[in-house]
Amino acid sequence: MSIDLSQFHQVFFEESLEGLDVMESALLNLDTENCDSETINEIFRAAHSIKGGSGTFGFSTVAEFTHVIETLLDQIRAGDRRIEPAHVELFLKSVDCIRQMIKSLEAGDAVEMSDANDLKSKFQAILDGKELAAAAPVPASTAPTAPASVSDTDAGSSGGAKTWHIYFKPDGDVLKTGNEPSRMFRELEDMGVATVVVDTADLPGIGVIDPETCYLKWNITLVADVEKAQIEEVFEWVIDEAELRIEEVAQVAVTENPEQNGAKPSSVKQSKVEPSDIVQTTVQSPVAEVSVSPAPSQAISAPAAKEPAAQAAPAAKKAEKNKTEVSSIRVGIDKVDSLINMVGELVITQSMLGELSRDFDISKLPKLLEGLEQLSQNTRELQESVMRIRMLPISFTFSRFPRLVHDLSKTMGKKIELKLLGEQTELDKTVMEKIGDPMVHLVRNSLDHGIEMPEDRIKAGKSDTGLITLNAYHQGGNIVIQIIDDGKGLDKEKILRKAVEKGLVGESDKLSDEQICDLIFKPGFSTADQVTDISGRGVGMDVVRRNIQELNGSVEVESFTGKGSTFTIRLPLTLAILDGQLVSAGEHTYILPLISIIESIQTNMDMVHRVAGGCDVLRLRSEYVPIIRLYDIFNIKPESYNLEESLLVVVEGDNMKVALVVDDLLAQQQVVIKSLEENYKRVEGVSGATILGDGTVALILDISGLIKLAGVRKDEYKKVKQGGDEAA
Amino acid sequence: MSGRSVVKLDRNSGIATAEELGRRLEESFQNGAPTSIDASEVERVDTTTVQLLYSFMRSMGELGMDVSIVQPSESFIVGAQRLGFTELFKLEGSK
Amino acid sequence: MSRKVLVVDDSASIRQMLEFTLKRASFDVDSAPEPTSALTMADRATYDLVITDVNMPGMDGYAFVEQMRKKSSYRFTPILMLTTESSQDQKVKGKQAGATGWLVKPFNPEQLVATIEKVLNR
Repeated sequence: MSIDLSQFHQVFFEESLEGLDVMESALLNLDTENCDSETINEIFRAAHSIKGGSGTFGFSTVAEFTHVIETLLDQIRAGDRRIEPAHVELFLKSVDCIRQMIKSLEAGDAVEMSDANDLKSKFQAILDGKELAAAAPVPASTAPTAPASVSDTDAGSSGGAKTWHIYFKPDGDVLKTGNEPSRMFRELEDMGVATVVVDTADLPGIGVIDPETCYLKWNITLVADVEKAQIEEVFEWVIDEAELRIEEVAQVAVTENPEQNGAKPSSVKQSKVEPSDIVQTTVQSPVAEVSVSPAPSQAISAPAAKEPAAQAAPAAKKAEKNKTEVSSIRVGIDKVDSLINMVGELVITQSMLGELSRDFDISKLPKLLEGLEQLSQNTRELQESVMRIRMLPISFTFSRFPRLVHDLSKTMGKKIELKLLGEQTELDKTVMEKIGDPMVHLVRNSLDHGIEMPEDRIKAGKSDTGLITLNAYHQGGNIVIQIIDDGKGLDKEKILRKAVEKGLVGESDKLSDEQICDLIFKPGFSTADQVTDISGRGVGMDVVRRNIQELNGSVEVESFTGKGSTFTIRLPLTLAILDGQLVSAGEHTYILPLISIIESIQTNMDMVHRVAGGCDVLRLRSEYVPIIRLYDIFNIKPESYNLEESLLVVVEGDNMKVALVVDDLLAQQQVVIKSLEENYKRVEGVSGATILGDGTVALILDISGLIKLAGVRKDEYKKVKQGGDEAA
Repeated sequence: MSGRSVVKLDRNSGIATAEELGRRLEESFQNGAPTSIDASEVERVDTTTVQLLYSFMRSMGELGMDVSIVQPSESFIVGAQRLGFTELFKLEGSK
Repeated sequence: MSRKVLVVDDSASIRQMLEFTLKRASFDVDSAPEPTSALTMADRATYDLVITDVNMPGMDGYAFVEQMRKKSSYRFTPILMLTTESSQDQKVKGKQAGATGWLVKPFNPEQLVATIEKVLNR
């Protein structure tokens, strides 16, 4: 019964991807002028491991491809070849290629061979280009071949028992490495009928014998239906430390003479068998069987031919599969232990409360309150502990940037250094997965529009190498991620001009520097004279902001002309919990995400203006903000219809500001977000719900949804702005 | 003149204990008394064991001293035969 | 008494596969991701057989074998190296370091067990 190896595949995929990261990192750090041998070894070992594993688990395409790379790396590592920058680029591309192959295998898709084949031929060209005394020929394929084709065949071996004569004289030290002739003889016995004759001629007396040295030699006659190679295989481990002669003879002859007087003297092999024969034999059998064992994804076996089809059909599937972020998480054992402790404490508190409740009377009240306080603390600690389990260091996301910066700076012809700070700062796994793309976009933006060309930098009195810094740290209940560049900064005049052009801003409007910089996040805004491929088509800063807001986060930019820009992203540490502001409208309690609140004010009728079309606006310093009455939208009865008795909470959503009318501001607290969709259905304007301490359900409001509900559309918003000017 | 010595072989007679067996056999040789090799408990025997035993037997033979293997276990007999020592140890008739 | 095997390989998937395969064949298996911890483990327990990879970070397989052979209780213990199929060099070096023999990668798990059984049963 064969073993199902597929249970180890996931581990292999994960460790291979990690190995590829190591390879990539080492390649990026490699200085081809002063080649560090340890770095080369690291790269070689990573490739070697992937090759070995993929071969073992039957992923022959990966094994073949990696083999070529490994061969070249081996030459470099042995000093037979100098490594050149061109090689490094090819290796980096191979890393991408293998990564893609592994991901395809993981997702169960067909492995695309076009890039791999292209790279393989480039590597092969390098290998062939220089005349090498390279020893073993590169075995091109590990595909199953016909049963063991032996190089040194004895004449007419078509089956049926043969008689073999074997002379075996091991070197004295053969026993000292754990080899034992009786094991080998037993294997011969398993093949057929073996007759063993020992020659003790060289055996010394008991006074001088070294107990651990071998002094014996043997003549063995074996009658079996086997080929010579099979017999050689039995002795393969000791072939270099023994005299071994194997001959086929016509009759069974048991003598002590090493010289056989039987037939076929021509097939006598005088000395040791060539190692290459042995190698071949050994190679065939394990390889042939590997491909027979359960092939992980049959898709692999039909690569190149299926390319177009493979791309079309599973395209949709692939899009989904790409999102199969590995649904497992590695957790430090310290976090697990902490969790176990918390639960332990919780159990203690619970049983204590249980006890109390048994015959409860009012005198026990203080104890009960104490117990409840304890319970609340336990729950809080447990909650923190559990949240920490989903947290991983941001280094996982940061790690893609060295390569990105390396490639982009090469493409753009700029010199850029990347500095990573706060890599160990932790954040929720899901948040981290979703912040990756926005971060990439911001970094690309800095590389493209921020950092100047080396000549320009020198002219500006800076060093020719630009610096991009990624910095992450905790602040309050949030994680802050900064993307800092020392480039030329945002061109505020250009931005202002563009904004006026697009009608986002009035010509005579006075905007602070902050507000001007913030304009880049407005939809459709792009001051790039051409949408460069590098920054991506149609993906503007507004999308970046929206994506970040979807994570209940925020992004801002600060910039100084000539000095550089800093993008600051703020994210909650977890998606499941929200810092909320409780507000009341009538009898109902609603929750606003704290991060969306700009300010709240007591209504002053001087600030409120009515605009043509029936919309009320609030004049907030230099802005006009539409007023939305919650009780209107939700059709509830407020405490007061009088605006003066209500509070206005100015919030931001969907790149717009609005003022919400509420009756009162209540507490601020962390709430656990429960999905409304899962429990009821999707409701516009509501992003979720939570259960408050008193057991009531409070709806968490979604600002952009509210804005839609209120019918305040973007053009209306603009009208308001203009109308506001008139009203003033 | 001492009586017959007995050297009892270990259950696992192999290279790990070869030095020790060699010492014991040499001692017996020095004592110069006919020796019985008790192979009753042997479960495994390897090249070092058979070598030492035969070397001992031969050296003793040169002195005219008798060495015989007594109560050989099944494993001993099979192991010795595998290495070609059946005749030399006079294990005929067994197996 | 169960026979104990020590596996040394820096690849987790290979270690897992070997552990699984050998345990299924009723061996007692311990594994180490690199030689230094393996050497410590070898002192703490007595292994009947050792399987080691060649390329590992830090100490490589050859150095590991040399160190093992210096231990008095492992002078003759069968030590097998996991070698790459095309490398004659690895086999020679392995033997020079004192290894008993080798197993060629990629290997078939059943074959591995058969080879180990042969080596241990004698």
